[in-house]
Amino acid sequence: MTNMQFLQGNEACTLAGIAAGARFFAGYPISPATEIAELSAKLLPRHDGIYIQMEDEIASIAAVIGASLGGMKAFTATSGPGFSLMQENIGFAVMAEVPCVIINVQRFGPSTGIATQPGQGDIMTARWGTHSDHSIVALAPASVQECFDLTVEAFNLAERFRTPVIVLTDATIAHLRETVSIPDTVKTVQRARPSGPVENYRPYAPAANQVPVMPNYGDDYILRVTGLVHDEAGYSSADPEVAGTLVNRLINKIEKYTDELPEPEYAGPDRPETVIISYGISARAALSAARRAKQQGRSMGVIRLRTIWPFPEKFITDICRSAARVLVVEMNKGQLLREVRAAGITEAYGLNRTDTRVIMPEEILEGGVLLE
Amino acid sequence: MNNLKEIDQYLAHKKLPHMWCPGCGNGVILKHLLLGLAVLGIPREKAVLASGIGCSGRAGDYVNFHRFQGTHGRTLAFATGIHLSNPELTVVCLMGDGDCGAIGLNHLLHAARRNINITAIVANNLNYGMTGGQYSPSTPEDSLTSTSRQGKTGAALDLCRLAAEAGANYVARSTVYHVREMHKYILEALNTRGFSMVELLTPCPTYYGRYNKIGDAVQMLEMFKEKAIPLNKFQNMEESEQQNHFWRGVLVRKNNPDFYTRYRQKEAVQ
Amino acid sequence: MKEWQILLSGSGGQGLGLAGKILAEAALYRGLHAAHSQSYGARARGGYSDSGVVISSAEIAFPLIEKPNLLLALSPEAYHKNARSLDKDGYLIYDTDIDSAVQEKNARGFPITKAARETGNERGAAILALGIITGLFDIIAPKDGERAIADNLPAQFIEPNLQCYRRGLEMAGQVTPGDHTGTAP
Repeated sequence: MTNMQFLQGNEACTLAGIAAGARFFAGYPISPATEIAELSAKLLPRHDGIYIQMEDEIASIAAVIGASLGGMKAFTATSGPGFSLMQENIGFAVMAEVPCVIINVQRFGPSTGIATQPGQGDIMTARWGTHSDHSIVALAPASVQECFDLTVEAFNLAERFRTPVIVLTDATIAHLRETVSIPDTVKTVQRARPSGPVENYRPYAPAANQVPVMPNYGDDYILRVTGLVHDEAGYSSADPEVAGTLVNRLINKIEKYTDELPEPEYAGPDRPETVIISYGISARAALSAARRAKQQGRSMGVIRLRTIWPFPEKFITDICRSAARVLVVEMNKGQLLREVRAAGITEAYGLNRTDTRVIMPEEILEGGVLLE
Repeated sequence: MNNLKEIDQYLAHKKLPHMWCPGCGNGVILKHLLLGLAVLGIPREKAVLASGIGCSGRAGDYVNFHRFQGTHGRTLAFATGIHLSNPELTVVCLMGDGDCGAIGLNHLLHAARRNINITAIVANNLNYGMTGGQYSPSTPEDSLTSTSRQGKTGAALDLCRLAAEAGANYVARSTVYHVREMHKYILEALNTRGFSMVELLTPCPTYYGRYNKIGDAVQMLEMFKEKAIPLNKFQNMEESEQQNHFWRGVLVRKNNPDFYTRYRQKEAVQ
Repeated sequence: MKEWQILLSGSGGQGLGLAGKILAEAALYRGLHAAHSQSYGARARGGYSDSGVVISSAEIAFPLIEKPNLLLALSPEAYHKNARSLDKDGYLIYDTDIDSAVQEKNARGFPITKAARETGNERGAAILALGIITGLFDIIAPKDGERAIADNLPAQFIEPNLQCYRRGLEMAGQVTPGDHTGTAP
């Protein structure tokens, strides 16, 4: 059974979190993400969950990580300034392999910027905002329905990979109302649990899929967690072998399994002359532009990314290989464009806006024509 | 009280000896924290030691029960989540004075304000030891450190008074010289429901003692013996005299309901 | 039916966000697709405010207003800001109180705020305008509009807002048919 509701993106993200099993939310008020906190505060206690408003975003993500280690699926929601503050602890969650979800409702920046206006400027912050080498999972919904679907997916991936997952929405989608189909139950993933003798358990010994199995604090299996480089038993170590092996595993446990992440969606002819690559609200304009291009007899296809990180390089290069023109449409100065070019599509162009206005379908049609 | 057998179950023997400098008090603090758990009969799997970053933060490597070490300064915020996700756990946060009193001060105030059911132990060695002896908020005024060669400018911060003012249920201070008192305070803190804090002055002969020409660990302990005086005596001192002393004693002992209890009561009303 | 792009504009406090949501939900009751967006920020503080509703019989690719083909202007600022963006065949409904020399060809003025005040519910101006829009254009059914009002308001506010909505329907009924009525241009 499903239930149709007319919801804002922020509401859909909250309902998705709860449907996916989240029982803990810690956050700090910030526009345009506040509705997620407000609705979580209202709904979580009804599910024996907890909402807590922390003293800042650093503490918010810290409490989320703590709650996840205690066995609750946990999330927070924020926007640019708060997302910046969270970066150190996101890196900690990567290093200590703590499942959690961060919903970043992107707003116009840098700095305080314009709190109520949208942007897509946090693509690289999501990828490299925390220091040093690591992998990260980031998803980008383009509709209110996807705010629901991809937030559920974010929780599942966080549990599957034992890693923080970032959901990148924006101020427009956050406050947009659309019809959402909410199923009575959603498919949820629970983190793999240890079994076997308690004495032999080593919290960071990888399973076959390179992800260690994880107990809760309070279980008989003893959990040792640190952000220091640690050995498989969870004790800190300064051994170069241990350090190198750990960092490689943290990256490979995600990068070698990218076929488990939401694939991009392609809409258009088999061998398009023009390919538009986009995500989030900008992808909606791209899809609308492609519809009109078709009516005009032009050959335009749209690749809409749902997973931003790890970047779905193969999917994109396969479609773009035969295209005469590639246009990357995003509300920033070309953050994803660099990635497309780095993937070998060196002739890709950017269609960008950084003035708080959402990119319109007509602009994309014109941009496509200019390239032709 | 000195029976190491009692704390055997909590120690990661393979990881000993510890990395702390000769004369450092961190080992004494860890021992009495573990003794406290033993006296109260808290099983290994129901305790979490959450430590910070810095010398005392390494304590987690020497225990064989649930251990957490997050990012610098944020221990109490992480521990807030750990506690709320499983209120049955005994969550003890072991932090240094820089960790808890500078970068993490905000979290101390708010953990105390919420009256979160956590015990905070602050190992105050009067400087940043791990990074080479820089001054911290709790370094006494005029002290010499690697970043105050002419003497520290600015008064020392009294973390206990802040925590008490913010709403903690239990706040006490002692030194590693006053072992029996320290032991008693740790036990009282662990027995408190709501936020409890024990600040413990501990010698750093490697940096603070050396820079300030106090001498070795024994002489530093003698300094604590002489300068750490009971709270009521301290309160009767002139301010100028107070600056040359530390107080010790129990500052607050209350029984206000903790955050989790009040939150569940409120939500049940809805 | 082609796609309706309806921009409800005026000042914060006139209930434009809610009116947009009600309009969109009434369209959904009719089996149409709808998307609703609204401006954030000064909305609660009396500055310019708007709310956009896209309604279509087909799935909506782009959910925001590109070029409105139905514009509601309840304040002078709203009129001056948006009139130029109106589709050349689009309709303009404005409050005669805005006291501007309206030149758009498919324009029709109504004393919207005044009429809302007369019902005793000045804050129901946008809902009253929704009644006018319901009466003039084949977008939503009056019963769906009433149902959406009842679904979106606390009990004590339903009746005063239904009064505004019905007053709007009446005002639309006094317009000569064929004058300013129609489907999406």
